[in-house]
Amino acid sequence: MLKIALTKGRIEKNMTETFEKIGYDITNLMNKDRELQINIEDKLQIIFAKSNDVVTFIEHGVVDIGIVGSDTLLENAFKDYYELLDLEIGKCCFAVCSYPDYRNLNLNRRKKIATKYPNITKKYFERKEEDVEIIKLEGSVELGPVVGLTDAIVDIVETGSTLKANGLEVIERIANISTRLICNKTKFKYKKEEILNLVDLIEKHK
Amino acid sequence: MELYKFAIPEESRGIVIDNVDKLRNFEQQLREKFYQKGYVETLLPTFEYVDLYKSVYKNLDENTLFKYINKEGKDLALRWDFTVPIAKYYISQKSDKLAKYCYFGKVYRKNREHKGKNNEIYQIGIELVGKEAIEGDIECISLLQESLSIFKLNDLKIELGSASFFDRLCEVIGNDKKEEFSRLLQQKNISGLKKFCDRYSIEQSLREFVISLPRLNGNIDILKRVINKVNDRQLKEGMEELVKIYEKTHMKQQDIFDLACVPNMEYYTGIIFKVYSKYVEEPIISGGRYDKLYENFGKDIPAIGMAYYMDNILKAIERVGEKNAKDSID
Repeated sequence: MLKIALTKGRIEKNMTETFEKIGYDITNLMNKDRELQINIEDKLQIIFAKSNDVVTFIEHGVVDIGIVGSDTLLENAFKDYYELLDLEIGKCCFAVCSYPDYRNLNLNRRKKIATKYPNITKKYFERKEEDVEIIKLEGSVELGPVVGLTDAIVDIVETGSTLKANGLEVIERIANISTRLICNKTKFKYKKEEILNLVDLIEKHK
Repeated sequence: MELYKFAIPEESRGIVIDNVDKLRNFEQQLREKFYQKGYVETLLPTFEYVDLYKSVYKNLDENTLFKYINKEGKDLALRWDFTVPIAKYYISQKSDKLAKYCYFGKVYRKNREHKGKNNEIYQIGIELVGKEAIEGDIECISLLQESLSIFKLNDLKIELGSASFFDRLCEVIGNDKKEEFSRLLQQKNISGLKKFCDRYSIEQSLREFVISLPRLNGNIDILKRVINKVNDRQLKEGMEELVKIYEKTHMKQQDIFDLACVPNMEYYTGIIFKVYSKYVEEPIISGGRYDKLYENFGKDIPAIGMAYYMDNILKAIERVGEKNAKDSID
């Protein structure tokens, strides 16, 4: 039996559809209430977790496989896993967003950037050889410019509707994001056939 | 009450009591084995120049060092590994003779906080200096095999990879793409390798081989099958070297090969090996050949070494114990 950590929310929803397409009995998944752990037939044991916790569980080998967005993987400092598959779902991108006049902004101080992703933000501005001040927000990052705390934000953009509703727009795209299947290295050595079999099934039915 | 009266600093690892007897027992058995084979025990300094490590590990993340500035105004770090200080010692001896060293002690590496990781890592290891591939490789792997029985762990797997196979692979792909290619290969990134081959219009048969690499991580049969299929002479030689080691050291059917193995230290040149236990998430032993390491000190000397991660070994033993206890209740 393979143990899988699934990111709660949209990835969980997408994967439920994929498991159905593969032909697994997903009754338990559909009827899930507040359980944190569910079995699919006697093949998969699934736990539901927040995205960064999926990576922590992979790091400690308490699950074999993790399904998580590449935004989380890029931000997280732990990199020692196999990233077997790009599921090409949950596609969106990282972008710098602000009011249109950000492009012509001329300041005598460092720009202030709000984000949930300080590592990615830091690397991006380093590449641009720009020195900025990063302010970490936990919730709606768009509030940064809206309340006048920061000049811009670095965040995930899907449809852009929240941005638009607040008069903000994408200034520059940073990187594409999609859902990935990752795997603990040691687990791969002991369960290779089972893991690759699931990888092939998911790839065929994604 | 004051913090220091009941707590240890975040950086410290907890006081170990439960497994100390086991640790000392393994240590003693390994020491006897190493002494028997002519390895000389070294006690290495706790403080080293940061520049020493930086000169060898070009991509070293300095945040992992415990650093301070000494009275000369130089950056010092707590011992980060044993291999580099031993190489420095060997060079200082100004001789080209065969040398065998072993060591027992802690290395200090700053890990991320609150992730359940230790900053004080207990390592036992050997360095075999001045003995070339393949003779030295066989000596090292044989010693490794002999020592494994000490731990009485079932389901161990030795995994062999080859830095020369990897280097040739990069040449074939194009060394200008090496950074991107090795990142994808290291991740066994099947989707990423496909896109990589498409982007650079890699020719069909090479494309198929590259995409299959993440799957080529298994027993001797897989390796032999690949050798028959590959035409490139140098790639073949890299793999044949692994077969030779497998045969000469009588490795077991459960032992594996990883053709997508990417050297994680830039000084590796020949075989790279790891030992896995089913019960721990990280390798319990790792090692490899690093004929280029001594070049940093201006000398051309072949060498091979390995390190036992004692914390991981003890973790495996603890978990086997827990499992056995659980099974006997069930």
